[in-house]
Order: sequence, then C-alpha cells, then structure tokens
Amino acid sequence: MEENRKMKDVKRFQSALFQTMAVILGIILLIPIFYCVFVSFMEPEQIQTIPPTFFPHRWTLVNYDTVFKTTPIARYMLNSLILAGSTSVIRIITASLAAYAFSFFRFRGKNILFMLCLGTVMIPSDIVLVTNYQTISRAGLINTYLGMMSVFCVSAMNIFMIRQNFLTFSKSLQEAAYVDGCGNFKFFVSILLPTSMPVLTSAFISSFISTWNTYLWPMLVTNKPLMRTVQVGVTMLNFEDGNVYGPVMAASTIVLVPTVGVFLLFRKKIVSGIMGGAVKG
Amino acid sequence: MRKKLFKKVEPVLYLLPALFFIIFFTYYPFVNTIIKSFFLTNSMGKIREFVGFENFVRIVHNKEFQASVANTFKYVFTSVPFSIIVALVLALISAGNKRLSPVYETMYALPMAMSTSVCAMIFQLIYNPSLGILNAFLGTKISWIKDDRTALYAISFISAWMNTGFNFLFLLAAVRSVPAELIECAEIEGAGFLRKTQKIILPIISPTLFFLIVNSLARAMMMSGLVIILTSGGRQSSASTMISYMYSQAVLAQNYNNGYATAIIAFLITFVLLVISFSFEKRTVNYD
Repeated sequence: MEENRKMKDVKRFQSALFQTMAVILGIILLIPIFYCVFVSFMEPEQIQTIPPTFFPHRWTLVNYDTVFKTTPIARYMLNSLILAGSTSVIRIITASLAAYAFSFFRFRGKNILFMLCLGTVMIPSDIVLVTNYQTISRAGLINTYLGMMSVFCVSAMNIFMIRQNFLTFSKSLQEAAYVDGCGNFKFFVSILLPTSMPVLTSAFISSFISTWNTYLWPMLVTNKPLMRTVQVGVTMLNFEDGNVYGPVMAASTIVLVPTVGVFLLFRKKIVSGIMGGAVKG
Repeated sequence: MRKKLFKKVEPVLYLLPALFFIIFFTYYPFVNTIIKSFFLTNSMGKIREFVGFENFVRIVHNKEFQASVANTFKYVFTSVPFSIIVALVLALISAGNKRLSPVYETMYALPMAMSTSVCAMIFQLIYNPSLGILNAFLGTKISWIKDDRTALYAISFISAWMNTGFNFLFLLAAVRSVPAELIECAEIEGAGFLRKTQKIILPIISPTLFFLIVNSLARAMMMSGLVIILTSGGRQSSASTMISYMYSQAVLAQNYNNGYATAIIAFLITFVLLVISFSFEKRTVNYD
C-alpha cells in the first residue's frame, strides 16, 4: 500500500515537472513576441542602452503615445479591418454558393468545374502578382478598397471545406423542405446556411486572420499613405529622431494583438477549420 | 418551358461569383503571364514583339537571377527541415493529455497567428548589431541582416519560426491518432523513446509529414515578403529570392520582360520539385 502511494507521488511529481518544462519551452519559443511587447513599454533611454535589456525597468506608455500622435495608425487599422472583414464575408458568400452547387445539384461539367476550382491551389498567387497588379491599375483601382479586396474574394480551400460539410447534410431534409414548397435558394438561405454556422465561422475566422496578415498585395496596390493597411504601414513608419524601435515595437504590438487575440479566443475553431480544409485536400 | 430552362442553369448561377474571381484573378493572369513571357513588352506591360525564348535565355544568364534561384533553394532546404523537426519535437512533447496541455499547446501554435511584417520588424530589432538581444546573448557584434554571409540564414530562421505553429498543429493531431495499445506494446517490449518514435510513430504519421513537407516546400519556394521588407525591396543579392527578384524587376525597375520570365521559371521549378517529392511519396509514405 505504502509503496503504491509513493509510486503515485513520484509519478505525479514527474508529470508536474514535465509540464513545467513544457511551459518553459513555450515561453522560450515565444521570446520574440514577449520581447516586442516589453520593448514597446520601455522608456526610450532604456532601449538605447548597451548591452540591451529584456524587461522594462519602468513601464511607460510613451511609445504608444508617439505612435498614435505622429502616425495614422488608427487609419491603418480601419483599412485593415475593412479589407479583412469584407473579403472574409465575400469569401464565405462565394464559397458557400459554389459549395451548394457542387453538393446539392447535378449538372453537366460539374466535375470539370470542380477541378477548375481546386486547380487554383496549384497556381501560387505570387506568380500572377504582376499581371493582377496591371489589371487593377488599368481598371483605375489603385488606392481603393475594391482593388485591395479583388484578389482575395474566393478561396478554393473554403469552397472545398464548406462542400465537405454540405455533403453530410441529409438529403431527406432537403426533400421535405422541397415538398413544403421551399425553393432551392430559399432552402439554401433559410435552412442550409443557418445549420452550417460552425463551418462558416471557422472559414470566416481563418480567412480574417490570413487577410489581416497579408503584406505584398496591399503594398503593391496602394501608394497613398492613408490607404495603407497596418501590415504595410508598420514597415514604413518614420519617426523624427533616431530612436525608432520603441514606437515601431508599440505599433507592432498594436498590430499583432487582434490576430493573437482572435487566435487565443477561437483556437479550437481555427484548428478544425484549417485541418478540415487541408487534411482531406 | 422557362421553368425547365431555369432548372438547368440554376446551379451554374450559384457558381458564377466564385468562377468569376477564379478565372479573372487566377487563370487569366496565369495564361497571360505565360504568353507575355514570350514577347517583349514596354514599361507599361504592353506587348511589342514576339521574341520566342529570348527573355528566358537572357534571364538564365543573369547573375542576379542565378543568385536568387540558389538562395531560394537555400531558404527551402534550411527553413523547411528546421521548422518541421522543431514542430515534430514539440508535438511529441505534447502528445499526452495533461492538465497544462491547453497552455503549452496554445503557446506552441501561436507563431502561426503572426504576420510577415510584424515578424520582420521584431527580428530586425533582435538582429540589430548593437541594440538587439541576439548579439547581447551571444556576445557577438554581427550585423545579421546587412552581412552577406548571414543575411539569408537569419531570414530563413524567421520564416522557420513563423511556420512551426502550423506544422505543430498538424503533427500534434497525427501523433495523437497513434493507437495507445501500439505504444504500450512497444513499451512492454522495452523500446526506448527514440526507437518508439522511429519504428511506430513516424510510420503512422508519415502521411501528415509528407503533406507538411510538400505544403512547406511550395510556400518556401514563393518566399518573398520577409526579404522585401528586410533588404529594402530585395536589392541585397545575397538574400534575394526568385519572387523578390521578380518583384524588384517588374515593380521597382518596371522591367516586365524579366518579371514575367522569372515568374514562369519560378513556377516551373516549384512544379518540378513537387513532382519529385510526390515520386518519393510512394516509397516512403505508409498509408495503411
């Protein structure tokens, strides 16, 4: 008996030790993020000291003050919010409509069209960047939200993910709705979409994070400072004196908080969204 | 009659919005880029005359382009193995469901929420020769990004760090799907941690590993954002990649001839690399 309890205690201690080590490893992995946040709260003089230090001696908001007073970061945030929010909504609409056609209807050329959708995965967006830039600039959409959104409006991964989900929907329910005089589109809007909320939200969240984080395309199609997104803006911040790192880290912290926050809040949803779209694909 | 016609076109109507964007922003520019790479174009990108393979021949002999191809491979073969191995170790650590699991799992996955530009700004400070903590920690005074000998590896490390979270999530799910009886069995027979991993876990998670390798390869071949931000538009030829070279040629120098040809070559190289990895798949990946 006594021996048994001892064994259990040893086991429990080992497990606690193991978990503590695992958490410490996590902290080491995330040093860049902690560093960024700590530097953003440091006094400018401390950032300039050599050798550099990790923890702020005195916490201060002066870097944040500089960022908000001397840069249009609030406007950058608004631009990013408009871009990420509206493209994610549009993506959900285009993807769920297409998924509806692919899962509930039979028509000629269905397989070819489906392959055409999935085939876009093989063409990296960077390869077609230059031509898309020319299209947008010829259409006069440089420095517009429409121009920034255009290339993100459809995602093959989302179509695939939502289609997989629709395929699990029972056909008898659709027939019952049909008998009740419910048209196809009405069925889609008032029955299918509401019952598919879980997959739609995970598609929305992951596409929000990915468009919020995109850099190259918004940088290409904007040149007016006021139309920049946060991701572009944060790399182009200019401050008067040489001490730029404090405000730059403050701005970086402001930029990373929304996505990290969304990630922490919806981790399970995001994971299931990504895995659902990719593993089977 | 009209009702019948509507029934026929109805599904196509649902597809129209998605097809419009797919055709207009993926297939059209892809075909357009291929066609234009065989022509000379002016600084507006308008076709002037057919030159066959001349654009390709010129670019293949260009020193900067050659460097960018070699660099891209160096990025791929450093950052991809590094991030997958680190992610695998983290996944093996988190395999068991413990009380603190949600805490460290979230920590290990978190880098995937980080954006290219924020990571570039943070590591720019970390790598700073006098103010950065890396040199303070190592006791060195290296200018990691400006120095041509270290620039590529310093940037490759950032990209590996950013990708660990994504790879970790997939590997964790795979490692957890290994049947517990199999592992217990091996433990009873006295297999150590390494042997257990090598003989039982790796074969079972090999499909996931393969998926991650292919996915990371494809993404690393297109690497550009970090390079463009950290080396002022990819002008530093010791760190440039194929796509950053394409960007500096087409967007900064308005030399579309080189830009289109680079894009097509980058596409072909990536495609061939993926085909090669799929041929390895049959020999090494276990789907049973």
